[in-house]
Amino acid sequence: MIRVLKKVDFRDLIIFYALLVLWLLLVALDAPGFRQFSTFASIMQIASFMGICGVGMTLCIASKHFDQSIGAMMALLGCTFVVLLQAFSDRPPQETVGVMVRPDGVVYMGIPWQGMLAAFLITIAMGVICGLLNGVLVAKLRIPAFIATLGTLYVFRGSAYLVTGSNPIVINQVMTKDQYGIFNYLGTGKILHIPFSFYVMIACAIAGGIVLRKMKLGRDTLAIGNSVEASRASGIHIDKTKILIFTLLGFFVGIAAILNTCFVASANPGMFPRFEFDVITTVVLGGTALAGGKGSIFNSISAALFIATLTVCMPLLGINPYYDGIIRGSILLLAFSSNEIRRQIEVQRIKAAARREAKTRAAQRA
Amino acid sequence: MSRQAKLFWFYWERFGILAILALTLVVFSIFAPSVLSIGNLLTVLCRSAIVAIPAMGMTFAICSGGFDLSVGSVVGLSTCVWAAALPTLGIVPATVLTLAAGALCGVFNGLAITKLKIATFVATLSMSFIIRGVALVATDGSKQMISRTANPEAKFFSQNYAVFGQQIQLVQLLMMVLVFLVGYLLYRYTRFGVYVRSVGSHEPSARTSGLPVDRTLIFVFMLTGATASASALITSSQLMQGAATLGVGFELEVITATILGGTSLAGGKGNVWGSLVAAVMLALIRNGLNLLGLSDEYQRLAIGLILLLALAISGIQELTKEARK
Repeated sequence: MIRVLKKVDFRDLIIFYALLVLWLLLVALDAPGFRQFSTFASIMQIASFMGICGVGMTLCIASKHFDQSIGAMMALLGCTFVVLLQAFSDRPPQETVGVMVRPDGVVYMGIPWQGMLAAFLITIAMGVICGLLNGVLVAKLRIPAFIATLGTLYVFRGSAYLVTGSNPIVINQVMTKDQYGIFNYLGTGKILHIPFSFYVMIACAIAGGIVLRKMKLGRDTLAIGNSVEASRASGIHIDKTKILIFTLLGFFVGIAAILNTCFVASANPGMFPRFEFDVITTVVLGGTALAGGKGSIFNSISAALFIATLTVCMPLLGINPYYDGIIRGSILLLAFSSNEIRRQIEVQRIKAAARREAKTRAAQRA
Repeated sequence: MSRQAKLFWFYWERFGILAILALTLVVFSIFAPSVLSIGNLLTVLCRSAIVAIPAMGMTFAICSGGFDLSVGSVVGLSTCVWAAALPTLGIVPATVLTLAAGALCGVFNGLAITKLKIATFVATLSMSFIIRGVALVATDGSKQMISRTANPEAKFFSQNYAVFGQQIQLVQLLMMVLVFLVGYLLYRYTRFGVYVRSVGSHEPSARTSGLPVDRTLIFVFMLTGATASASALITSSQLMQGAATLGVGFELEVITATILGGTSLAGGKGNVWGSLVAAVMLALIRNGLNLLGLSDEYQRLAIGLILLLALAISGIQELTKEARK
């Protein structure tokens, strides 16, 4: 335990301290409802979708790339998931919700379990394929990630509209009450007052942490982020690593899309309009440098909780939700200007010291 | 690389977007001949101003080695400023005020990048949150309607004028032409243009050679902000309203046009006319697919595929270069 603790650099955990300070502040201010479990549950719920995608995005940004397409990818995968459920169900969605017996006595089965399993697996596979597409564009065709994923953003979003025929689809129309219960549990169920999706996030974070710290892929990722030339010289398969990173991100987005679809019990091709920037904000706030070569999953998760706390608690404190953008933007600016401000203060200090020195010398000479 | 191949890439970098535009025209002339009527083409040309004008500013931003993600938010804020100022101040002061607001947003972007030394991506991203937040708080999230009866002059930017027997939105077209003329002259013939290109090529060397890097960058982002405001004037005049929620995701369309136009994301290489042609092409694709009865989803798909196609071609160029090494 102590050996593990010795390895941790406590100066790198600034966002975690900020999160604790924010929570203490909210307790001190006695924000109405903050001390209830339900508030914490909703913070965790919101944080988990950002966090799951954030794990993949941390790897991506640590390798000096980023993915703009994940908001559109979330929408596409969510819509695919619901459309697949619809396709595997024997119940036509246009009939009244919840009625599972036709007037002529035929009983609908809803979705057979094979169909459910297939829907899960196909959605995740779709995520992997979307990520693979991004990866191949970036690695094999040498397109900068910023614009390659801008192109796939349009493609994914367009496909999401095509898949659903531009309409939002509701999940409970095609299944029996019991089946809907399962999906509802995945989305909103709680174990020990903690949402199910938060456990999934923890699992994803541990997996991502192992990949980043213990596996060759993680080391290669950080090496590429530091210097592509140096990693090429030391024999790292650059293209393969890049493709794997984007594929992994697609996999995580698939998981988040399924959980979110179960949470809101519907899918809408226009959902998550700027989700990628929310995720990038969390990852960057967690100290993963956009310049690459550095990343911490734990900090990304802390940042996701930090942002989720702001989102949930601002209404509790009676702050107009329109201030959300201003506060979020200011925090980002502050977090990123802190280095430069610290440097400026240091420069001023050195200058002042030099001036004092010069003065005493002059006094001595006189 | 053979001489022919070199020549091909030389022309592709400069005129590739024209080839894609010609290809689009040919495709539409087969499937939807009504696209090619003079009236429709003129409409498309005028419509493209909304994306083309900020694309000029973005060309400078990308050429200087960064990009501006706050364009969409600046559009939202500017429509609110214009709609709020118009009834009390009159059209000329309101327009000047709006352009000044956009330029001010750009100055803040530039200051954050140069003085606080924040990466362009993070700086403009957080500024986009803040700018839209300010617009939302100031308007309390409600739309600012412009009354047709009290302020008929608000239609100035989107009014139809009869030219050569065609009804066209002349002011928009003239604005676009003017902005691009100024942009081209700035880029090609002024010291500022040279500074922008050198900063984009390699900022540290530009700094060591004593160029005013900070001032150049601040001015570049000021230009981007002001052009975004100019585009907001047209949007607001068309819709007769200002809303903080306008222009979400608009920056992506502008960046798409700029990149399709041949401006390199690596910086140091811009193509002002390319951005104009690309913006016109995007408007043409949207218009043509509309006339074919294909809705927004197909338009997005088409734009995405064309962007990927163009990128793949420049990717092949990179690969041949690497193969030569």
